[in-house]
This record gives sequence, C-alpha cells and structure tokens, in this order.
Amino acid sequence: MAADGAVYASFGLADDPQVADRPDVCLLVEGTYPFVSGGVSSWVHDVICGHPELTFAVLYVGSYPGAHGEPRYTLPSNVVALHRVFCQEAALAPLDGAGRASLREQIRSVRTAIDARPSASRVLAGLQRMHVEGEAGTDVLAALASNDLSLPELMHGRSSFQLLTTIAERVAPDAPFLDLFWHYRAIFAPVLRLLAAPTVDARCYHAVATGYAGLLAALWSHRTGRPLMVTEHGIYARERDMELARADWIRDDAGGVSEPRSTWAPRVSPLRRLWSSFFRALSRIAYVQARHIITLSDANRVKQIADGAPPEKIEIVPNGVALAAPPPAAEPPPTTATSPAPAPEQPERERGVVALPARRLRVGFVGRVVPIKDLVTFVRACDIALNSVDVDARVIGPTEEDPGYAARCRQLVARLGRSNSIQFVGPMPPARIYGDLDLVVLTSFSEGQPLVILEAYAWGLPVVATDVGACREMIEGRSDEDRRIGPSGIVTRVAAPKETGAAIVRLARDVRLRWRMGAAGHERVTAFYQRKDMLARYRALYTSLIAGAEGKRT
Amino acid sequence: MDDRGPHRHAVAAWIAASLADLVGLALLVGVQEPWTLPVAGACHLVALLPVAFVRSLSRSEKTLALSFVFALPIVGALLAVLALEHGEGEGSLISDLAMAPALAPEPVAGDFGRLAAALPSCEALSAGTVEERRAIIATLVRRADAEAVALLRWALGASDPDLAVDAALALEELTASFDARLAACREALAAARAGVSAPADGMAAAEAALAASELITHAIDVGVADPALVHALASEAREDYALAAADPAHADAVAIGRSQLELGALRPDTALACIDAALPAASPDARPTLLSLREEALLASHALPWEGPSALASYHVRAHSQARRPPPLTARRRLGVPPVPAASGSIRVGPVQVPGAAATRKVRHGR
Repeated sequence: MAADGAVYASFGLADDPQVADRPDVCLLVEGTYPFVSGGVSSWVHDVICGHPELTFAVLYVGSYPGAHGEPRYTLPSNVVALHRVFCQEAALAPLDGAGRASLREQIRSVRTAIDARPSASRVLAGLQRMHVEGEAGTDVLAALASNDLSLPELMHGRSSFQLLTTIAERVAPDAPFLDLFWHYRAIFAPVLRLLAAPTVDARCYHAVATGYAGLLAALWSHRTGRPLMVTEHGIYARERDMELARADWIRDDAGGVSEPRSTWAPRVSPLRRLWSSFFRALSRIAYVQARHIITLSDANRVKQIADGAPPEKIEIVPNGVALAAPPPAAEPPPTTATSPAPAPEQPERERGVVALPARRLRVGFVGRVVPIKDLVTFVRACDIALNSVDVDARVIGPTEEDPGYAARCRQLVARLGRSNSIQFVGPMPPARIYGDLDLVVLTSFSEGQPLVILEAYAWGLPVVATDVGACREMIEGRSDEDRRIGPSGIVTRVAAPKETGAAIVRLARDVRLRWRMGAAGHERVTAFYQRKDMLARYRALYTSLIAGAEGKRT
Repeated sequence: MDDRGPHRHAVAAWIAASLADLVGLALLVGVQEPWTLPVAGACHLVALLPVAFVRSLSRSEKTLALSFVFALPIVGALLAVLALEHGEGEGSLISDLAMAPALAPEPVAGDFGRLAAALPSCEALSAGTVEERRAIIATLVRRADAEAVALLRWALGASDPDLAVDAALALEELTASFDARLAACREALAAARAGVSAPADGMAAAEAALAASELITHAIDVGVADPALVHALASEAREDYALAAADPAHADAVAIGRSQLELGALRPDTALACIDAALPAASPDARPTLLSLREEALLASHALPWEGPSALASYHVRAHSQARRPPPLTARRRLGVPPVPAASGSIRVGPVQVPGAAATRKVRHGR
C-alpha cells in the first residue's frame, strides 16, 4: 500500500470474512451497493446472485468514511470481498496554534523532499493533458496509473502550483483565482486518493458507472492488463452536469462583468465548465479502456457516443426481471369492477357500462422518496385525480435517504387534506407491492431504465411514467416488433401534475384500457426484458472477458 | 520539482555581478577623475546584466534579484542569493500581476457586443447550447421573480425533454426553498406566539407573523406557491397579517402586503377594499405604493372581457391626483352612492378609456 494511500484512503479488506486469492470479477460501484438501496443496487445484487458460478469482489467508492450506514443487502455467498475506498477524508477539527505550527513544519519538509525530486511527475503531466489539452486517451491513463504524485505534493508542490496557474491562464481565465485554487484541490485530491488505492487483483473488472468508479476500474485494468467492462444505467457525466447546474458551492458572481440581472446574455461559469469537463474526461477514460460498454437503451447509447464512447464497443443489454405473475386473463373483465365511481351519475354510466360496487383505484409510487423522483408531482397528480375519481394512492419506498424531502411531501399531503387517500407505506418486498396495485406511476426527473416499470409489467400492471431515460421506449416500444405489442402505459411530461392526473383518471375510468395496457406490458417484459436473458448476456460477456484475460496471460 | 537546483549552479552570474560593482568601487576610490563617476555607474548597471540572463530564475525571482543588485551595490548579489535560497515564495509575482486584470476586468466593447448579439431568453433556452441554457436557468433561479418563474414554466412545456427536465428541477428548487423558509417562519411564529406574556412578546409575534405573511404573499405573487395550496396559503397569510396589524408600526407594511396578497390570490375587490381602508392613515412613504396597487386592483377588477393581452401590455397608470380618484369602492357600496361616471376614475388602456369600477362591473354582468 502506498504511504499516501494509507493516510487518505480507507481500504476495507479487514472487514471481509474471507478473501479469495483472485475473484473472477471485481465489481466497482460508486455510492450504491451494498450501502444504498435503489435501482442500481438491486441490479448489482441481481447480477451477483444470478452468477453463482463466479466469485465477486465488490469495491464501493464512497465520499468519506462514515458517510454510509450499514449494508442494505445481505452479501451473497459468492461475494468474497468487500472493499471501500473514499474520495475524501473524514472532516477534521480546526487546528489550534500548535497544530498549525506542526502543519507548517510538515509542509516545509514536504517541499524539501519535493525539491529533491529527480524528475517531473507523470501524474501531473497526465492531469495537465486532461484539463488543458482535453485529452483522455491511453497515454493519459498510463500517466495516471504511474501514481507518482502524493497528495502533499499536489497540495504544496511548486509543479502542482504551476499546473494550477496554467489552468488559470488557459482554461479558466475568467475564474477568480482563489476560487480556482480551492476547486483545483477539490477536483484532484479525490483522484489522487483513488490512484493510491491498492489494486484489487481480479480476472476482470466491471464498473457499474463511469466517474470515479470507472476511473479506478480503468486504472486497475491498465495496471494488471485485465479486461474492463463498463455498464452505465444513467449517463454519469450528464447526471453530474445536472447537479453542477444547481450547485450552490460554485460561485458565479465573480470575475468579469458582474452577473447580469438579465438572462439574455448568460455567462457560463468557468468553474462549472471545469468540473463538467473533468467528469466528461473521467467517462472518456473509462470508455477508452473498456472492452465492452453496456448501456440500457438507444437514447443512452446516443449520449454515450456524443460523450466519446467508441460506437463499436457499445452494446445494449436491457434490464430484466423475473416473471412473477401469470399473464393477465385473455379477455378483459366485463365490468368496471375496479373503476372508481365517486358519484353514480359519472361517465361509466353515461357510456352504458354496468358498474359493479366501486373499488378505489390502487395507484402506487414505488421508489425512494428523494427529490429526483419528484414525489411532489405524484402527490399533486393524485390530488387532481381525486377531484374526479376515487384513488387509493400509496408511496412505497424508503424515506430515510432524504428525511427533509419526505417530511415536505407528507406536509403537502396533509395540507391538501388527502391524508386518507395518499399514504406512505414504506419499503415492501415486490411480491407484496404489485399484487395489491392497479396502476404504477413514476414521476421521476431522471431515470435510466427503471426496474419498477419492468416489475409492474411482470405483474400485468399498466404504468404512467415521465418521458425520461428509457421510459418512452419501455412503454411505447423500442423496435417495430416491440411497438406492435401496443402501448403498455401513458407517457407524460416531467413535472406535469395535470397531465399525470389526467392519465390516472383516464385509466381509472377505462378498465378495458387498463387491462389492455397491463397485458401489453406483460407481453413486452416476456419478450424483451426477462431477467434470465439479461443474465445470460452478462454470463457470456464475463466468460469472454475472463477467457480473453487468461488467454492473454498464457 | 527541481526548479531550485539551477540557482546553485548560477554562481558565476552572482560573482560577475559583484565583481562589476567592485570594479566600479575601485575606480571611484583609486582614480579621482571626472569620468570615474559615470564609469562607476556604468559598472553598476553592467552588474545587472549577468543576473538578468540567469535562465533558471522565474520572472518574479529575477525581479527580486535585480532589485537587490541595483539597490545594494556589491552586497546586493549576495543578499539576493540568500533570499532566493531561503525564501518561502508561493508563486510568481509577475504572473499574479498579470492575472489581476482577469479578476475584475472593466466591461469592454466586446461585452456590450455580446449582450447586444444575445438571443432573447426564450430563444436562448430553446436554441442555445446546453451550457448557455443551464446558465440562463441558474440566473432565473437566483432571480426568482415572477418573470423568471413564468419563463421556467414556459420552458417546462418545451418540446426538448432535456430543457423541460432542467426547468422542472429549477422550479422544484424554488419550491423547496420556499417550503423550507415557510416552515422556518411558521416555527418562529409558533415560538413567538407561545411565549406571549408581555407586550414586548406581542410585538415579536407581530414581527414573526409579518415575516410569514410576506413570504407567502411573495410566493403567491411570483407563482412559486403550489396552485392547489394557494387558497389555504392565502387564508394563512390573512390570519398572519391580522396578527401583524397588532403592532401599529407595521400598519403600512400590512396594508401593502395584504393588498398584494389579494391581488395575487385573484381577489382584486378585496384588495381594493383593503387599500381604501388603509389610505387615510397611510404614511407619506407608503402612499404612492398603495395608490399604485389601487390602480392595479382597479384594472384587475374590471376583467376587461373585450380586451386581450395586447391592450393590457400597453397599459400605463396615468398620473393620478387625489381629486380625480373615485371614492372608495367599499364606501360607495356602504353609502349607496350611484355608479361613478366614466369620466371619473377611468383608466386609459392603450387607446381605450376604461370606465370606472362600478360602471364596468355593470357592463360585465349585464345588469
């Protein structure tokens, strides 16, 4: 272990009950499995459980020690190691006078050591090529893999300061230098901590995102000569761009003409641009080193190519679920047994349909209660729908990830006076969720290829989902053959509660349409999104990677 | 990191500089001729040359060394060596100075050209680059006024799904910020009300109530408040304004805020009544604002069924004297005063002379 790595990276081999000599696959994840529940974590768990013949090491890249809680998943028996690497060190208490003097002495001794260095750092050269020349190829990766720059050198070395001034002059001349100084440290310090992490030896590497996990996987793949596969659910660089656009820790109001109050001459923040180009460079590095790049949908494939992924490496492997329920009946139910009828003179009667005793439409929002899922729009949509039809809405998912947001959603429900109709029921196993629902609604701002939709289809339920990620092609069909099945739900715009509410009302009132869409969903998931197909494809990919690596060694 | 190594190898330059000065000194001391002083001066200038050509020095280090050599003949070179070898410089003085203009440049013609050539917000949102679009949206979020919220809502309906998502996230951010601030205001108000035992506590409660009500008014006014909650929020704000009115010092703020609230909640008649009740006791500072709000309320209460938005766009409040202002609507109603003639209290909307409030209402309802 490198000396700097010992200080700045936590490496959790000691936590592991047993460590295999060399696992077949090292899965690298960023901020998800096994400490955070969600779509990607479920997918990782599925993949590991689906390959009992392979051994896995899981490497979790986290923000700082202590940021995650206890594992949310019981690790399967074929996981032989769980490692953790952190991009930041834990927050330190402010230094007192003696501490500052000690630090000053440390810096002085570091500088003395740096001054005696015989040659320039390759890592610094690589970082310069990444940021100033905009390169992210094999040469940059090789330079980074040399790991010849320590964190103190980055912080206090003259060459590092020289790189900072070069970036200031050539990349971000409009940025306030002091801001740039701190952002420079914030960008590169995590990279150095990752470079210093000891390599986990495995027969192949599989990064479940680009970003920091992708960088680490690419470095290890380069160092060991073992092949790398990258699977992207969402597009990492795009998701970071969305976050950067709203990041309040980047100042926009300094440098150049003071920020115009008018919006017709926007000044793009050079610091945001710097961060954005950094994340894109991380993606490109992973793309370049990867032998296979797996994506979930056509839409994401286009974005990956735009971000520098070689098209010939990209393969679409959709998510898959196990078929849990028998297909819906061959014929639709003859009555509006599940259609709500708030008043006897409502449209069902007008259409001449005989109404059985009305039952509330059971609408489910299945997912984490976090802002990106836009639960507020779901609540507002249900409120609008409740003005027309009788709905029993349930929010099924964990609320502890963002307690503030969950409290806000609960307050909204209470202030709308809908506490009896919209309830938060917490996480539940899929078998208990979907068997008790008539409709699944997804109002997310951002998605990859949501498992929730596939699970709903597997249970023969129609879906109302926003037009994000692969939702449209999952509902309306991806290929001609897929489209012939017909729509399996209704696509709405993001943050459009009226539209979502109208879709709920439509499906509540038209039981035949609901049945038809549910049946189409079941047919679609049977034809294109089965878990066994997804696992078979990954099994083939793992086999080829491992065989290729062994062949190369012999 | 070996940029300091060559300092030690440039010994010849430092010795040469000192020697040149020594020659000048020797001339001055040993040869008492009229030309010795200029020659000694020339020797001193020559002493600068070897230092100026030391390649291993950065620009700031060279500046420092030349200053030493120039200011302190003979010993300057020695002092420069000591300073460079043992100093703790952080960077280049020259490069820092060179960067200074980048920190706060004056607007130049190019900036104005950029402003003039820029697209209107809507077009820039639809046709600009992703970076430009996000910069515009970030600016809109920081502005968070009615115009900004309207633009974001427009973008929400755009055909570009990425733009719609960006706009949706921005609106969500504004709403979340409003919710958080409102929750804090409610907590402060509850705490202030719970502790009311002395008159001073009552004033604190009035202060907290005013803050909460003004926040709600602003949210309704700019369009951040959830449409489904506007009615409930307006009721809450009315109660808070009533509480805030307990402190006479807040009378003007309450009158203005309450009027704005009623206008935002689409109840211009109530706004008009509030303003008319507040005007007689309003301070000179608040009076112009109340009169301006009264014009707005008058216009809004007309509904103008025969005019479209273009006429409203050309609406300008006319200079309004006390003498020409119609009697308060509530007073007219209470006293049974007949409708005000069109010439009195009328408003010009573009080319159209809109009659007074009562007369227009009669037209609208066909009574």
